[in-house]
Amino acid sequence: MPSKPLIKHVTCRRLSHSRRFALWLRVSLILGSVWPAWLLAEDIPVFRLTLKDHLFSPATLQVPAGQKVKIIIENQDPNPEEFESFAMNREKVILGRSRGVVFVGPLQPGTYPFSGEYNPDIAKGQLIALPEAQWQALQAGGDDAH
Amino acid sequence: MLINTVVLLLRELLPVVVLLSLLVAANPAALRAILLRVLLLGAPLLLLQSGQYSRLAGLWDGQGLEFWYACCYGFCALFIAALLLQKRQHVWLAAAAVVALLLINGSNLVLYLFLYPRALDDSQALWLGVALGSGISLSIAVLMYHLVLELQLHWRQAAAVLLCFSAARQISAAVFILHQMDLLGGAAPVWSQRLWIDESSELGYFLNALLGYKSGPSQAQLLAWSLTLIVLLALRRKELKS
Repeated sequence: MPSKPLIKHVTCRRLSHSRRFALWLRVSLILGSVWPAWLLAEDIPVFRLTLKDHLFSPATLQVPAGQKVKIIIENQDPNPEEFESFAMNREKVILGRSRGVVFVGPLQPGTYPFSGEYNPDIAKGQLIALPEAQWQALQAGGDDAH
Repeated sequence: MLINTVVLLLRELLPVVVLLSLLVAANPAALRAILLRVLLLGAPLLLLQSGQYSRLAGLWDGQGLEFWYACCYGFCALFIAALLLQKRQHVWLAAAAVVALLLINGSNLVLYLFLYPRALDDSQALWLGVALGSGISLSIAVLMYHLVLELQLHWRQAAAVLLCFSAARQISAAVFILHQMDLLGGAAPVWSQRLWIDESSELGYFLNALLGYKSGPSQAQLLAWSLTLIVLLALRRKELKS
């Protein structure tokens, strides 16, 4: 007599485990498909920085505040360089004659210095995060932004 | 060049040697065994990685290195956690944790020291900087080791608690990289920059190497750091009470 309830109990536990596993799998699949889609759906403004002769160009990069931006750094020098900014909490090694991508923000309006860590005395620049109104004015070619 | 090299050495070497000193302080009898395994495992892996640097860097739209570094930080934290949650002291686990961190910080040093063409005058300043930076980093690590040994005379869990902080640091660093790759949200800073100790100061470097200090951490970084620390300390609560 005691064997029947035991089998039933074990079967229930197995069912419960398989159900839980199926649920976990479903949630993972949903999250796995939604998360990258959400990331791809985001419209991120792209900016470019060039490093040549250990100098950043443009030395001052203006970006909109309050939103994430993508910065493509192209190192035209044959030597590697490390893009670094403590203010933006970013650092990235870019090999010689190659490019790297850094996502920054959303930033508060303000100035964020950056440098090349291997040549900090000359490889210097700053990123200026402009408030919405100033950024719109800059886009429209107005004087308010300058 | 000289000062820049010293600063770079401090930034890259200090986290590795501080972690090594904590792991050795947790198991002083295994000093040689851990060092030997770090050398045996770390040197060939670092060489192999240096050979594949360009290929790694080119993956995923120029973000391959970041992805690899995030994995290394994750492995480092995992190995430290595994060490903390086991009763036996596994020398290979300790060595693997150091090697995982060495692959990140060591690769930056290899790049700066060996793959960067320089004039002869610069080279002299460079190697002097290397000697100074290594000397300072190693001195701090040795002092840390003796300090933790001394602390353990009064409280046996001192090294373990500091290793919990170290695991939290590695997770926080992995989160930082995932932000940079835009694979994780919560990148907004919790508080404004440099309110406390400057992260780029000597003390900032030391606190970052030991505890994972950031002067302007992101929300996700702070959350990941706190959660890792709380979970590890909670899992070791019995030992902490004893």
